Amino acid sequence: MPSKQTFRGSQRSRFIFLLLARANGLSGVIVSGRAGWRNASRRIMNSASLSFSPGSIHAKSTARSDSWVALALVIAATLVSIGLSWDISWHSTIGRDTFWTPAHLVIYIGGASAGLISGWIAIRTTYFTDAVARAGSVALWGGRAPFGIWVSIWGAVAMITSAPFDNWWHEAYGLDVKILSPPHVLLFFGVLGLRLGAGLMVLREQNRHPESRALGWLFCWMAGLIMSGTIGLFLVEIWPTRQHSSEFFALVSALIPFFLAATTRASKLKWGATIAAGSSMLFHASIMWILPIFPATPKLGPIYHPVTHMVASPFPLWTILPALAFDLLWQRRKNRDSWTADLILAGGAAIAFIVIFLPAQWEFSKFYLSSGSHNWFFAGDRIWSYRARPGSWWTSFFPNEAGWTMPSIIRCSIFATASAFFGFSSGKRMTQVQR
Amino acid sequence: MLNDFGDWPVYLRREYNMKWIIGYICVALFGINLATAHVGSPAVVCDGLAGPYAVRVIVLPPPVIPGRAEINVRMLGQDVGPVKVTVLPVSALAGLAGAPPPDLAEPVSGEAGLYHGELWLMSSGSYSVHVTIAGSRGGGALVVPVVAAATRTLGMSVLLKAVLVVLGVILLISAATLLSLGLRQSLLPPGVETRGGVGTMAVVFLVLCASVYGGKRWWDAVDANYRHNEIYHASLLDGSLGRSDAHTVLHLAVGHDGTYGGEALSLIPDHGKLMHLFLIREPQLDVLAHLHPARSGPRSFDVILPELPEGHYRVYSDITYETGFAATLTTAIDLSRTSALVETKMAAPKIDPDDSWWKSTSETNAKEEDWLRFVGERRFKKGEDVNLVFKGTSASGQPVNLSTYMGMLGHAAVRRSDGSVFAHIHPVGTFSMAAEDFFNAQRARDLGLTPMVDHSHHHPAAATSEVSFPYVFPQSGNYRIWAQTKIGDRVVTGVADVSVD
Repeated sequence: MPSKQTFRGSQRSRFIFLLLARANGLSGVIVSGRAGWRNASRRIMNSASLSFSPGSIHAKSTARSDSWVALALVIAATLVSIGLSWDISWHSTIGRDTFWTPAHLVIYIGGASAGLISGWIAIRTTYFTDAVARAGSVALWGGRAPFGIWVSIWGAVAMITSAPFDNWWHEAYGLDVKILSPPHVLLFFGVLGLRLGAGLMVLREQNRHPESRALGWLFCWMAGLIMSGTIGLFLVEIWPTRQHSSEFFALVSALIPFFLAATTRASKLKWGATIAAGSSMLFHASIMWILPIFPATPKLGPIYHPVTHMVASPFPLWTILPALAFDLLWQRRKNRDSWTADLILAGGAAIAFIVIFLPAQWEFSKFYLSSGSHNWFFAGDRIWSYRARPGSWWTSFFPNEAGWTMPSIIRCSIFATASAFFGFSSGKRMTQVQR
Repeated sequence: MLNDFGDWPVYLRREYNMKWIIGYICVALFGINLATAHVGSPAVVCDGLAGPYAVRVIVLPPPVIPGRAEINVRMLGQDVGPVKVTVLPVSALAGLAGAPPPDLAEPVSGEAGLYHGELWLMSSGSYSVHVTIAGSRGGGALVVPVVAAATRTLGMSVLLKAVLVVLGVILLISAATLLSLGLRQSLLPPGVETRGGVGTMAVVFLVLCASVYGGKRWWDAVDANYRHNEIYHASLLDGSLGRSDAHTVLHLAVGHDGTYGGEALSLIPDHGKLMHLFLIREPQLDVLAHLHPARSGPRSFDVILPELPEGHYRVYSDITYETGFAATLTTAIDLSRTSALVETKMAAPKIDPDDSWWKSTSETNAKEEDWLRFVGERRFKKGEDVNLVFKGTSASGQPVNLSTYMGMLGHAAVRRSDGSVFAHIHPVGTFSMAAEDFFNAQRARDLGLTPMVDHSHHHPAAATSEVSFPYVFPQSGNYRIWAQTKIGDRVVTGVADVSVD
């Protein structure tokens, strides 16, 4: 329970709060421009005048300051995502992988800043803050920090652990040629920790300030980043030439509905899943548009495809389409809070996913393998690495088992329903994250 | 077309015989591979001319592919002033068209005329390294054949193991705590404390442990695949003896997919021979035969054995595939009771006039090895490029000029006493001459030039009584070196025992 504040303590708290309130106004400016600054300032002053009791002011002050932390962690996680996309392009274009490539530096900066910020917040919450702030945190091994901070620290430690492991892996089995390897998976979990940590901090702030649209958008941004980052681990499996296979169908059915369902339920915005999927698509499409602008040539052989510019990742999956359906479904749900209601909703969401996403992606991938996608917008001719031998396999689908078979659709339905159900359940928990 | 590896990955999946197991143990224990181009001797040394510049090129291939090879280029002879040295690895399968831009080799400070660079070898197989030199005397290039193959399994140091285990345990326990107690607390309003939850944590911990176990299984699968399919293993070689036309005939079969039949070997000749065979009596190392089997089938060769003493012989067979990939296949035979061998109806192969053999105790008064004597110190350091010099000497101790033997001034075999190292080398280096011809022709084709086989650098410019073999000893120990050349029309063999620190 919050401890009682002394009069002197409350005065100090109010002073700190006013300082931090100005800082929060700045964050509003970043998000919404000059109007945002005025609105944010007005909101903050109103909230200050409405809740003038020592405990609440102090709780507010801590919460306001942590919005900055959430924003900083989101920026750090975004940097890591940019770095990872750049690194994949680097491997496909230039090839030479050293510790100090620019892409690696961006990842280090993102990871290090998230780790340092989180470490500092844990120390601050444990030793240099009052009981009220500590009450809004989670205890772990004698320390205290918001849950997202702990997860972020865990992610940073996992990333650090993966470094010597990965180095040994290169010496034992050769330099990177595969995305999926045990040290890379550990790195992925580390990055996932950073992303989840940032997401949890944003959630905490969003749930504490449901009126803040900026925090709502920030949460959607982070949710989109986590979704695309997880899908990105399976870049090879979701490559355009594989998008007609039952494996692709099963994979996306198992992954995407979870994220969309969780986001639409946890978001304070009406179109949470749509914004998350849309912003994620825009983010990756932007990287896809920007990278091929820069000239670059391979520095490794054998070169079977002499690229002249940075190679792009394929056009992002059309997750915005099922996201719209998920948002609409959530908006039209019956207000019954039970697992059976969630299951029925998940079943509807799964049908929507299979009916909307799979055919859309099926048709889009056909277009994508045609010459119609050979332009800057879709970058269909800019995704092949220097190591890829040009041939008919660039423009034809893998001869896998096709997705549109009855066993495949039954499997997808089960996966998508389970995934969406788990997503809706998680989304409910996410609305409860308060510290 | 034959692949680069002599079909090595396939048979290992089906056949785990004693040769493989012994090889595996050697790899595991000593980090050495019994079966590469040469045996346990990965460094490539090449003495040659890059246009007007005499150079020695030393390439140390990486033990794992993809990996980075080290390359040193040493200017030989007179000071030629500052030069620009570039190095470029070219895959046999992709040629110059698939090669990246060359890299500049940097001068090594404190070592005049020495240049150092790195070569990124990204796929297993046959490569040529193009060394280009430009300076005040003009420019030129030298092509050095290199085999890129994974040859090592790497253990983890105790320190790294400890660090990873400690960090792993911390990550595991903290993840279990966060996913149970942390998650539970995070959903509560500020200030509300929880108790218990240890049971949940234990369950989560067990689930995470199961995931880690799954990860370990995956790692084991990657490791097994690496050991069986990625590490280079030369094709199996089977040696059997028979009698034909009153000769003892050694029949050699090269393995393929667990059998000794199947697709024909596509080889290119080295000094006009498809196979160079060395038989060395173990453990005395007192008999050496250098023979040239004739092809008797798609994957088999026959050779008449000279009158060799009875005993156990190690057999080393040097071949070069049509992609320029040089390999040394090994086996062993027992030459006891050869008279009891059954006479076969097959015709005996012709005796190759270049076949030669040596026994440590000559029946003549003068020991043959005294005619070709090792010159200089007999102690070397591992990892350093050295010259192994032999000098032709008459019975009176006077120098005598040497003649070429199979197009070269000399051939030498280097073997570590325990057999873990074997290399067949020449005065121009440690690479396969057949591979050199192949890559020079490929370079000429890629550059639109007329392919020309130029062996002029294989011969000395003037008559000489000395023959020198460049070499890098890969590990410390005691070695025996056999050098062969001709004095007049007779093949002579000089022998030297050296120690390497």
